Amino acid sequence: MTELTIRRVVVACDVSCDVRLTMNAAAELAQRLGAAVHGVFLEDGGLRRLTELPFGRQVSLSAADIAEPLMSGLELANMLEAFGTAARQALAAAADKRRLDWSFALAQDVLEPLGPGDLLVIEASARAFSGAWRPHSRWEGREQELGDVVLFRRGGTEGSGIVLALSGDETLDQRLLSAVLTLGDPAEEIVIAPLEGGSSAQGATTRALDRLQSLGRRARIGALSLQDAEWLQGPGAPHPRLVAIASRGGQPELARAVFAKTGADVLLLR
Amino acid sequence: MTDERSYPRRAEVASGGGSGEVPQWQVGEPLPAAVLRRCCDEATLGFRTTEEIPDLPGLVGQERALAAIRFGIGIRRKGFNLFAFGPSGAGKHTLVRELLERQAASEPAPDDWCYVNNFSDPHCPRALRLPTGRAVPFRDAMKRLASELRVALPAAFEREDYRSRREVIDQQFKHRHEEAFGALQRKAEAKSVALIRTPMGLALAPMHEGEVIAPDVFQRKPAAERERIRADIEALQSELEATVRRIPEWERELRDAVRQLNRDTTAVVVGHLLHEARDAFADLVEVIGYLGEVERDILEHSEDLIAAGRPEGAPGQGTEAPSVDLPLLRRYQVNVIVEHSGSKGAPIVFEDNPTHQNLVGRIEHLARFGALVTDFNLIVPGALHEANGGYLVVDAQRLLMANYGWESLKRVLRADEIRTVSLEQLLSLASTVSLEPQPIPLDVKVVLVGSPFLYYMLSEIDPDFPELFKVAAEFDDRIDRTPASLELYARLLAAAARRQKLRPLERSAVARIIDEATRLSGDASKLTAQIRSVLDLLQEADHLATDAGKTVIGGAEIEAAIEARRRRSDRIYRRLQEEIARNTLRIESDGACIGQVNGLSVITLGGTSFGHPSRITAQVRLGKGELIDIEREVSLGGPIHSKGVLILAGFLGGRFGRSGPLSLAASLVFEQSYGAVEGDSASAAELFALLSALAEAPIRQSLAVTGSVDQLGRIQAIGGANEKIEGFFDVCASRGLTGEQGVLIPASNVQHLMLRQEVAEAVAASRFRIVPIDMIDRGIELLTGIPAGVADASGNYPQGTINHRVTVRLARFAKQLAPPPRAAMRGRMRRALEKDND
Repeated sequence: MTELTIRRVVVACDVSCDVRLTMNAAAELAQRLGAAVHGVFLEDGGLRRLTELPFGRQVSLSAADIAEPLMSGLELANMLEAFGTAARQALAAAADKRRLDWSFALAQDVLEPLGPGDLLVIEASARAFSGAWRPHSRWEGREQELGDVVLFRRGGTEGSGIVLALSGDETLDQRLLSAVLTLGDPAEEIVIAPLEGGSSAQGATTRALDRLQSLGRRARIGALSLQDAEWLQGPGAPHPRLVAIASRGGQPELARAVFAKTGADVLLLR
Repeated sequence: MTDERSYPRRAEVASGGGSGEVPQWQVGEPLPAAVLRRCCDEATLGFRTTEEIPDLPGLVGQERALAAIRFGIGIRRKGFNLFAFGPSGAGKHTLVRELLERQAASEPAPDDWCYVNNFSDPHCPRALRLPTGRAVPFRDAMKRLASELRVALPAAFEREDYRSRREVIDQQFKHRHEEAFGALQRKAEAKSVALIRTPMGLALAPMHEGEVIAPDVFQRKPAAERERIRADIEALQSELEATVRRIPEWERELRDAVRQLNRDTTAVVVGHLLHEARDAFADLVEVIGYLGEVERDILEHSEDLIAAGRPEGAPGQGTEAPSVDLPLLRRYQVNVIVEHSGSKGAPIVFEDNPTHQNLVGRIEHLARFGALVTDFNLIVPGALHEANGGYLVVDAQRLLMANYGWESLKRVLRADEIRTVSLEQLLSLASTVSLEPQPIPLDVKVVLVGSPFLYYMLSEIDPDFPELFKVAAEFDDRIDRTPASLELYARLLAAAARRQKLRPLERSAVARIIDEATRLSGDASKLTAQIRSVLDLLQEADHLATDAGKTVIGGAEIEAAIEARRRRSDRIYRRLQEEIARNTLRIESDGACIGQVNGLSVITLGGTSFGHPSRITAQVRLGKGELIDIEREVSLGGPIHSKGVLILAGFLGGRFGRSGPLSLAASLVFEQSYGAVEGDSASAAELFALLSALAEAPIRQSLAVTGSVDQLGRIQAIGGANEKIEGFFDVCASRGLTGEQGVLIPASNVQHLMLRQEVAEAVAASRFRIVPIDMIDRGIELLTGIPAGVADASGNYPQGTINHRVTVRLARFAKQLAPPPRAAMRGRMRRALEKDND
């Protein structure tokens, strides 16, 4: 079987993240995959530009009067530096605890190019502003930066089990299956669903089922399409903790939609 | 010769207490042996072994105490608590226990008490009174409730219907947020404005080509465009602020909705669980009321129950079930303070360590994360809780020595309620917040058991004592030795032997124990009431019978036990005897000596007393009537001893100083005495030494003397006569008994004699003698062999008598001390003046 080899877990965070949870989750994932961990703190150029505009204001639930003047450029720089330092310390602590190789970098808006063997973790533990609502993700429309293996990770999800969405591409599907076997617990149920219609995808699900059953894993084939969020979250739905998607066309929008609607972590392999 | 008119001989007759007729004896004559040791005639005991006689309930000869205890136990009035006092080992505890058990058995078992949480004021736990035997079922019911709550509540919160309802609420809440912010976001996007995250919140940013507009690009825009953007941003900012301001309200609504859902879910569970307890205690209004409070509290705290059950570190989503072992559930437990299920009669509690805490209970604490915490479950009952509705027996000495035991007991008895409060709070030493449990009404009879000293001391110095302990039960230290009491004594011994699983006693053993009891009482017509000592002797004899392989305890075992006991504790006595035998301690037992007499004293060490002869000497010289007690001068003489010596001065003045001052100086001393001397039992001996010195009449050293004297020269009774006689007897016996040796004792002490068998045998063989005396003159005649002399009508004594010789000696002193004639004085003065002028 074609294996998915992950050599480095790259975790990207910014000011919206809880850095301790983010780095811990990334380090745990790296440990499970036998990989190193690399943290990146992204400084938002848009925010910097906003501080230089004449009418910048912000609202905050912790402010005395909710609305307050936006910070100055210098204040923002200091704050970003503090956030970056905190992220680095959190990563060092999480990695050292697990005896992992680790590295850390600050980046201005854009990630350095990812290489083969890199798994990018995004949306890691981004804090909701109110309720479950979050502003648009910074990663929307930036698919070129995401690389081939992306994990949309929330952390602390309430679901259980894994949904495996196969593309029909045998190599891609086998790599995804190997990733799922590594990331999943042996007792977890795996529901296999074809990402697209067609005989190749149907054949892939059958092969995956055989493969999983031969390994003694609990697995079944899901009856409905992954496109339907109700199938994942409605009454009697799997309520998975992880949805793994193999997509020849990339389709980060699908991954993002599943991530936004279901509350599950999403692993996208393309 | 003595004059019959001055000091007539008296005949004393004593009862033998069942041991037959007591022979006549006369003052001034050696006592017959039968008087010295009045043995119990075993033939008078109407049984062969104690197996044949029934038990004796209670004690012998303590009728006064018995009546007082019965009265004290019977009367149920405030302050009529009981103080039973008497000598140690008199059986106070035993009698009190027996009488209390009898009384308590006829009384009903009191109600049960427990502490439960006071939901309106947890610092003041509530006391609940339940009928006898109902507290434990109530506790179990509440325990079951808590236990079932642990299972049923999580189950209810895990059920699909709860999850669905909760999800609906959460979704509504999320939807509200998303709707409000999503609409705002879409509106902003329509105006090329983005909502972006800042480190602390949200901000609105004008966009240009998908990015936040750069400042220079913004500045290059036309003024109207810039103003439009500014206006758009401000309008959106206002909307954003308005939306954000509503967030707390939405969150509160969410909490309220979740709380109501949780209450509804909990109510179903709790109502069902409480149903059984309500049925079981439907007849108890207080309990039913309490169960209502429990239900309300569980509903009010359903949120806390769920939150407390959430695994540590988990995000606060609030959907987890409560833990099965929550401290929160402790509040619904029942702390049974005292329960009497299965009890027959009123409780009797014996508190061995009556400290404040052990009496009124204590509030314990648990260490949690470095802090000490407590609640009503940690209230521990005290002896007063246990005894409430019955009787509490406390040793008075332990009570007075225990930490604030006495003060606490008085406070409780005065208030008629038990208030469990820590010692720190009682003394205002702690300012930390602690529990103040609701006081429990008190109905208890307290019986203090102690010594007479403590009773009289408390009566004297503690004004509360007579108010709170109105009934005194005084135990006698000895009882009359009569045929009837001997029979009861035998039954007492029989009961003790059976109770302690000892061998039965032969009647010879009973007779020997009676003899020992008589000796221990210090009076031939009494028996000691200190039963413990007698029972100890019984156990030792039983041990000897075991060694001898006997099935019964005989007289020989009793005698052997007595001898063994004496031998175990006579090291000091033997050492003194040895030093006397080696003449290190000089005691003369033959010959005669002027101004020297053998006095007798008793030394008590631990529980052992023994007699010890001491050489008392007197020296006289010219002086002004001073009588110097050397012991007192060096602060070794106690006040009673000093009083005895001053009485001697009174006697001398009264007899020989009527016509003028006594012109003598005399000193008295206990030779080779290096410790304190107390008591007046040597005052007669001191007077004999003094008279011998004044009359220059030698005293027979083969005789020893004991007895006190008054100012009229009458000999008075002293204590420890047996030990004193035996002490001198042992000295003489070690040197060889001659028949001349003996002891002069006060005639009034004859009735107390219960000497060792060997002393009585020596007297019977005329090798030792014990002579009772009643007047100082009779004693001096026996000691010197010279008549004392009786004054004629003019106050003159016959020539050659002791009194005449004393009178002559004193007159000689007076003459020597008389002032010189006046002419001679004038001549001496003139010569002295002339010498000064030169």
